[in-house]
Amino acid sequence: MTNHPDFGDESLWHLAVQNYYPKIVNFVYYLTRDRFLAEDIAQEAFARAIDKFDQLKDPDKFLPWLTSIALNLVRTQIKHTQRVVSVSDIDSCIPFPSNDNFPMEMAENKEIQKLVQNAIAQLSPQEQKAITMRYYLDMKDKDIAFALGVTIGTVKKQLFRARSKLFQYLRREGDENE
Amino acid sequence: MNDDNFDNFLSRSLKAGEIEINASINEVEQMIIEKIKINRANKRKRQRLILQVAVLVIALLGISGPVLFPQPVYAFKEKVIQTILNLGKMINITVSSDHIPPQLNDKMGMEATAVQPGVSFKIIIPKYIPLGFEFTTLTKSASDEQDTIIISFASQNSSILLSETRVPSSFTYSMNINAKQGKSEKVPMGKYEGNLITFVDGSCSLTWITDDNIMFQLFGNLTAEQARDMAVSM
Repeated sequence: MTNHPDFGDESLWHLAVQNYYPKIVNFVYYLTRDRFLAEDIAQEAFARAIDKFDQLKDPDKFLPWLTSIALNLVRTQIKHTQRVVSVSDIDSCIPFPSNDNFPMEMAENKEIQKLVQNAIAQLSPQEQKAITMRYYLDMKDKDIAFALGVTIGTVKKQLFRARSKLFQYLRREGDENE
Repeated sequence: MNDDNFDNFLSRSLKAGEIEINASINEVEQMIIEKIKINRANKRKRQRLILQVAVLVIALLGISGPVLFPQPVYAFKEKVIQTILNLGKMINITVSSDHIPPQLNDKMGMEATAVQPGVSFKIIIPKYIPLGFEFTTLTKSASDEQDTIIISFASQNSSILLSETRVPSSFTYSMNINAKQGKSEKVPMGKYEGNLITFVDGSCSLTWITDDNIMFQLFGNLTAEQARDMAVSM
């Protein structure tokens, strides 16, 4: 980072922005479905992380810590705007296979991606966060627990429940579209 | 479908569906820098407001004090103003921690022990200090007959001030708060009741008087819950 004297190790922050900014933008985007808001929150999360970096005890927890800052900003934003992601925010409905076979190449299909996002929007806010952290950010249970401020047991339960709901939802969509 | 397949499918769907960032990393960094500058300016603004509120509290005490509490209140007021000015100078202290290391509480205890012989009441120190704050100073007013203890805590951009002073048994106080600026309420704190003023900017002031007529005043950039927890921990 340039033009500012007080950011500590600039090369470290440059790497952090390069590696994690797109991830945080997309993570917030999956929760809010608002691209501009997602970019704004991701920038704000980095700004706060830089100012509070001394509070991070374990460098390995950087991503969960950054994610928790972004989540707090999302919560504040939702409180202010009362905006909740709903199915109506997302385009639907598209064909989906009715059997249990989810070929990997389908994941590249834009419509399938929308359907998956649609399915995630059906989950509770906490489940949405947990599932996005797990499957988009590839975070482990303990890191999700750290970011959400809950126990690992709670994360496991939320993920199990969310995963079952997603599976059922996608199966149902498949049956309806057959 | 087995679990792994479904997990992979979800993961790939989300990753393949991610939005692309149009701005370059340099542009993003510049936007982050702008936000940092704005945040820091806002923090300084909030801190100035806290200092103004603290001065207002002292001014109110100064107005009502001479009637109910003639001489000592001036010493109290002067001391608090001085401490606030000192705190203002310490705004840029770089201290941050998510808990108070034991040696800091020890340090506060040691300073209290050192000052105690010259004070007519027992100095009480908080066991709980809000996240990110650290003990900085514990001083006794030397300018008047009335003993006043001022304990200050600082975080990277904020400060908390705790004053302890003896008041007459008949001492009472009241304050008018503009509803747009904050709200005032009574809060239970174990065996005592405190007067809590929460301001719209997130700062607050908590005042309570104990059975042995020691008035405690806590103010700074902390939430009502933190102020109460701090008071209850004493």
